[in-house]
Amino acid sequence: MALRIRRIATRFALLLAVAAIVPLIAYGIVSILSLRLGTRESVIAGNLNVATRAATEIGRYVVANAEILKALAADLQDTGLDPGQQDRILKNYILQFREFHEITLFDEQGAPVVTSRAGRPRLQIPKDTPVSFDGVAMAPIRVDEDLLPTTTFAIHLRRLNQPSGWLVGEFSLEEMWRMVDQIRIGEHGYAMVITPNGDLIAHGDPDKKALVAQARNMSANPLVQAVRGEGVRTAISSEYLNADGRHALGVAASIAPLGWSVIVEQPTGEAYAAATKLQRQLVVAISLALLVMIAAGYLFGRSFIRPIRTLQRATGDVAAGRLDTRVHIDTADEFAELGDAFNAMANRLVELQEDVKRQERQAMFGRVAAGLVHDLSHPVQNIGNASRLLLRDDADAETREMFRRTVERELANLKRFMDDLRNLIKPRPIERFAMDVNATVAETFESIRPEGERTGIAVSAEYAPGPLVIDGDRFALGRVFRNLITNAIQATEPGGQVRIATARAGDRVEITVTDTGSGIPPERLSAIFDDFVTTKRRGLGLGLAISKRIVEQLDGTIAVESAVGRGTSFTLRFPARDDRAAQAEAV
Amino acid sequence: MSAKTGDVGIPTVVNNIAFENLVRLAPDGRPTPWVADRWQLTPSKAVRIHMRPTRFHDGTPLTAAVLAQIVQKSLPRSLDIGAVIPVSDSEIEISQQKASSFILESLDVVTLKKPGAPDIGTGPFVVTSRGEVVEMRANEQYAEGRPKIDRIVVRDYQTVRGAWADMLRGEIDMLYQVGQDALQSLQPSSSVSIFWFQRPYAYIVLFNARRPALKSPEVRRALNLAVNRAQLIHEALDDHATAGAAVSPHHWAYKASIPMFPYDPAAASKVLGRRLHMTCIIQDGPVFERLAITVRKQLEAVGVDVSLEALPLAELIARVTERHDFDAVLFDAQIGPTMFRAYDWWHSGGTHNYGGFSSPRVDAALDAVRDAKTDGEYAAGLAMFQEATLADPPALFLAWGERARAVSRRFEVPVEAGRDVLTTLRLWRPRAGTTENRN
Repeated sequence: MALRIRRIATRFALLLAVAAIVPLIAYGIVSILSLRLGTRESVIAGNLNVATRAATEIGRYVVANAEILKALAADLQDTGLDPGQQDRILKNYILQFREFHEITLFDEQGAPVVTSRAGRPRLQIPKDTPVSFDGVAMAPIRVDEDLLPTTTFAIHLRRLNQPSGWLVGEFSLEEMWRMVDQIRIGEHGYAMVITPNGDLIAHGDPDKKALVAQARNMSANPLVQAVRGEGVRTAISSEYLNADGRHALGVAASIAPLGWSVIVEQPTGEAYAAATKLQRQLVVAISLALLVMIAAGYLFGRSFIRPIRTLQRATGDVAAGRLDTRVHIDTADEFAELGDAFNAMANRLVELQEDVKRQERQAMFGRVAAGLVHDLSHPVQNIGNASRLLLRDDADAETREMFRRTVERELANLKRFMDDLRNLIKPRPIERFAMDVNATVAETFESIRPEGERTGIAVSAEYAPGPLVIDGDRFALGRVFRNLITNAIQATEPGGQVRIATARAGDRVEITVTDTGSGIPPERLSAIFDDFVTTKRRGLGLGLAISKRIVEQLDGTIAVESAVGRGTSFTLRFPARDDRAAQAEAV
Repeated sequence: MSAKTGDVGIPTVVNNIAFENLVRLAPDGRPTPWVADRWQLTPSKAVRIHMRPTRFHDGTPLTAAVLAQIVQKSLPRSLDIGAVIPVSDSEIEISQQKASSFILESLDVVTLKKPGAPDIGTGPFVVTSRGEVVEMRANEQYAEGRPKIDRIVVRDYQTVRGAWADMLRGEIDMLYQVGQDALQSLQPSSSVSIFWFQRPYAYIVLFNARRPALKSPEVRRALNLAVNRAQLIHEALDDHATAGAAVSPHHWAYKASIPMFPYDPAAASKVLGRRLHMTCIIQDGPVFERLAITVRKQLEAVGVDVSLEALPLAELIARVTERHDFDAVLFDAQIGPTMFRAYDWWHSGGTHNYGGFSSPRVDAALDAVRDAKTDGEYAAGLAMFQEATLADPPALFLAWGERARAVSRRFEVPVEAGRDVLTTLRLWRPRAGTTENRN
């Protein structure tokens, strides 16, 4: 089923949302993605720059110190210095270049010739030199007893183009550690130096230096694996779970010509913090804009439909009968014109209503007058005629008695007529007490049956097993029953039937008066209970109106069914009283 | 706790923890009350010492009689003391032929060990097992209150690196001694605290005054003028030392107005004009090597030819103390913080005068300090000594050293200014929230 949006305000809001926010959201998404990508690249580039510079510096530092040893080698070879002089040179070098802990000159057979140490040399010619550059061989890095990273350089000396020994220097790389220690990216970004084998030889986090002492191998680090896979000359970046189990951004730069790598590692949370913050701000801004737009659309929509609502309410008021309702719309647009038109229409309705009322009053007055004339003229004429005849001297006793009864009858009719009028003007208060419907109906039926039989109509009654007790006014209801039965008799041709029946229907008591009379046309059926409406040639048409009023006062209902030429049926329903007290009390 | 740097072995470490001395020396050399909580000079020139109630680790009380026995045995003969007798339940008297200001200073060497049971002391911790690893437990009856630490284990590491790695892993809580180079690695760590303190040791080159070339005070003075101590401390000791002479500049009576040896290579060269050759033996070790090379370079600049010979410690001690077979020896000597120590080294009759040094002026000055009855006399004597050793130095005085200890930050460590942090070991406590039951 399609979604139906009934409210204009909602439609306006959605219209604005679609027209303005969708592009905004699209822009925001694109911006966020671009920001994220751009920031990531920027962070990686920045960290790579740091790693590359550190790699360059470390490489220069190591090479520079190798050059120092080479310079010393140049001082020693082919210069004809005696061992004492060589000894002084070596010791002075040690004092001058603090990175060197020991320098020893070996002969070609590996026996020490002179050393910078006061005692016996500790160095030996290194056998394992995985790194070699420009004539200098370098042994693997180790951490010495003084907790410093140390390596050994060895230079094979030549004299007159013949091998003439080795110059071996133990070189402390503590300056490399200082360089690495100084590299800090944010709060938690550190650098480390890894050999091609994955051995950790420097770590910028002072709390992780123990890993260096433990000769920790970092081959399990995904970045180290990538470096080994990609080769020594490539700068690499990667995101991975580091040894602490945190997501980290790592970049690696190689240290030529040593084959080492400088890895700068930073938790991704910190690395991308700026971008994340910007993204958050962007999302917040877009969300706020969206809410503002929706609110604006909604408010605009509401203000737009306010005149419509005003007109809607006014229309409803007029429909409810409040014809004095007027609208005031000052929007100076079509709505204002509509409001003016509405007001004009309402004025016209009032005029028409007045006209209708006047015509109805006139019609009713005419009807009432006609009814009065009609109902009064006959009895008055009969009374007049009877009176004149009574006054005649030649009227015998029987004749006088007949005329007397005529006068009394017509006076009774007049009295009833007056009672109806009086009841219409000032209805007699209803008294409620428990009453047996069967008894009341029976009483009324018995009083009217002779009249029906006199007119050749079969009048019958059928009673439900009783008592049928309701809260009612026996006298008022008696009048109602009399009215209905009388109407039925009057509407039925001789030979027809009038039947009265009582019944129990659930918690209701029903009384039905049915006739086989002429029936009531459908177009008059709806107004049958209105005042001054009658199908009879005589009468004001008050009986059914009064009857309906009495029934409704007793919480009951009265309904009519009729078919022209077949007859009419009136059904009265009242709430039953089933309690024993009511039944004991009922009359 | 770990040991093993250079010459410090487990016994030294254990001694410093489990045993107490009768007094403690302040960084300025003054004796301060400890087990001996007060003292006075009697009219008969005896020193009466009162001790606080103290028990040995086995619960037996340290009586005056036992204390007298310990003191009698511990005090050096050079002090020329008479009898040490108990005079009450808690007092002893040290009689002396002649009143000496060194008596109280020397109480620092009186270590309270139960006679006949050298493992039983009175300190805050009790040795419970010995071997490759020494275990000590808190002394429940310690006079100053039970320590907060329940147990201490002391083990020796072959290398500082191994000890440091274990420390940064949190497996050990203290490095007894940290070399200067290792500080570069340890200091930035967030899990370790480094505590420096002044040592009563000075780096000196002791001259063998018996050797003809070194007999002359002018030669020995010139050698002192040839050394740039500031440069030496910077190059060889990473600025963790104080330039000084024969008296520690921290001594309470040190007279700062008396200058130390200036650096005057020109004056030195004039005296040492002819080529002087000497062999300097040194203890094997990077610090001594570096010092020796630096000194040699500076001496060579003024015409002195110095050969260096590195020896293991035992051999060095034998050559110096027994055979006196040396020209000069570079080492760190405990020549402070008291003048009692200085007397021992530089008086012609001193027990540590391995160089055969003899100077009437120095002797007179040291005697004046020894015989001083007041602080004023003491200070005057010390000033004489400063001047006497400037004129006739028995050694090449390089610098007064500092030492560092590394302690895990899981402990709160009270520090007394200038003192070794171990002096407050009984007060150390684990920080709140840290694991308490660890080595």
